[in-house]
Formats: sequence, C-alpha cells, structure tokens
Amino acid sequence: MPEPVSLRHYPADVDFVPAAVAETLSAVDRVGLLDEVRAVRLELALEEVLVNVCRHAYRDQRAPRGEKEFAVEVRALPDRLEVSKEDSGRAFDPTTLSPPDTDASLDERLVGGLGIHLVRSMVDGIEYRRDGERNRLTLTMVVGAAATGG
Amino acid sequence: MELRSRIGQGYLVVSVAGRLDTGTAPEFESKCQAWLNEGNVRVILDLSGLEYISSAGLRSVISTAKRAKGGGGALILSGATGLVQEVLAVSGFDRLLPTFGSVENALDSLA
Repeated sequence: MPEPVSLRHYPADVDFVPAAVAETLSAVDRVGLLDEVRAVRLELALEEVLVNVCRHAYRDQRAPRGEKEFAVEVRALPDRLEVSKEDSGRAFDPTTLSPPDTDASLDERLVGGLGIHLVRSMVDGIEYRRDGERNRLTLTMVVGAAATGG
Repeated sequence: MELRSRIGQGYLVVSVAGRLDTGTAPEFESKCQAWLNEGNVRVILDLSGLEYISSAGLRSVISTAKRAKGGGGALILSGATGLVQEVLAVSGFDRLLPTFGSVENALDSLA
C-alpha cells in the first residue's frame, strides 16, 4: 500500500466540510488521474460522507469538542484512486443500508435517505471497516483504461 | 448559489444557479416557501445554471414540491445537465416530478 498523497484532519463540524472537500479534491487534481466528470462525482460522494459523519457519528457521545474529528486520506494506486474517511464515532456501516425507494410517489417519498444512495451511485467502490475504535470508509474510483466517464 | 424568479405564462419560473448543497439548500427552501406562500404554487424550476446538487439540495427540492402540491399546484423541473441531470436520474426525481429539457419546452408543453 503506497503512502497517502494527502492526509488531513478536521473537526467534525459541517462548517469544515467545504474545506475538507476542496482540499481533498485539490490533492486528487494534483494526482491527475480523474477527468472532470469523475472528479465531481467523487466530490459529491465525499461531501455526502463527511456531512453524514458531522451530523451523526458523534451524536451519542459526550467527547470534548476537540476529540470529535475526522480524517481524509487520498491514495493513488496503479489501477485506482482511493479516498478514505476515518472517524472515532459510533460504529456505522453505511454499505449495509437498504437503498431508498426511488419509485415512490411524491406523497410517499421520504425526505431523507438519499445521501448514501448518491454515494453508491457516484463511485466505483465503497468499503467499510471498523478498525478498533475507528470507522474507516473507502471510496474507490477506477483509473486508466477500465474507467468509464460520461 | 444564485436564485432568481420571474412570472411567465402563469408559472413562477425559479432559476437556481451554482451549487445547491448543505450550505445553500436552507436559503433555497425558505425563498421558495415564501414564494409559495404568496400564492405562486405553479412553479417551474430552471436548473440550466445549476452545476452541483447534493442530497441536501434534493431534500429542499422535494420539500418544495410537496408544499407546491399541497397548495394545489406543482413543481416542474427543467434544464438540468451534467452532474445535476445524473443525480436527478439516480434519485428517481425525473420520474417523480414532471421534467423538461428547458423552461421553454416546459411552457410549450404545459400551455
């Protein structure tokens, strides 16, 4: 596993999400493996993941504000780009959630539940791991010949 | 985010440009609610200048659509391209709400 090209920590507060997303996408841009269409898909997926962490991961915990944080890491591999998010909030595996009913009528349609569905739709892979007290969620974008844009 | 509204052929045309995300969705929703409260319940949303929409943006659109319907009107989508069009499709919004290629197409079809 190569060293990350970027690893940054942020307070788990939605006010920091725009900076976290922008700095991560700058790192992705510097690696230069994703075209604009796929970079903006990754941007959307990452925003959804980070907003979710800030809103829910530490909700039940009385940890001091400084300990409520998340980290974002970018790794460039020969065949893929990986963006991983880590936090110390309650264990939560978003990959096991059932998708929302996208065929429901307006009256039946729930206002929530769309975020993780968008994440799944925008990236090529999503993997969750509980590492001790840490949640680690990795978003994968395939690069090179196997990548499909458009 | 830039938000503008005009009246055209009995519809309120709301143009939203830039980003509709966690930061901007609350303003979008409250402005739309104010317009709906003034009795403009037939709304065409012009998305041609929108570059980015997240789930927070989608939630504000669905809330606005429910309020419009509750007031006896409807929310119509138009002009989405790129990522916004893709997000509306994977979320099922283009099946949930009347969707047109442009405001002009919407007005022609609804006339």
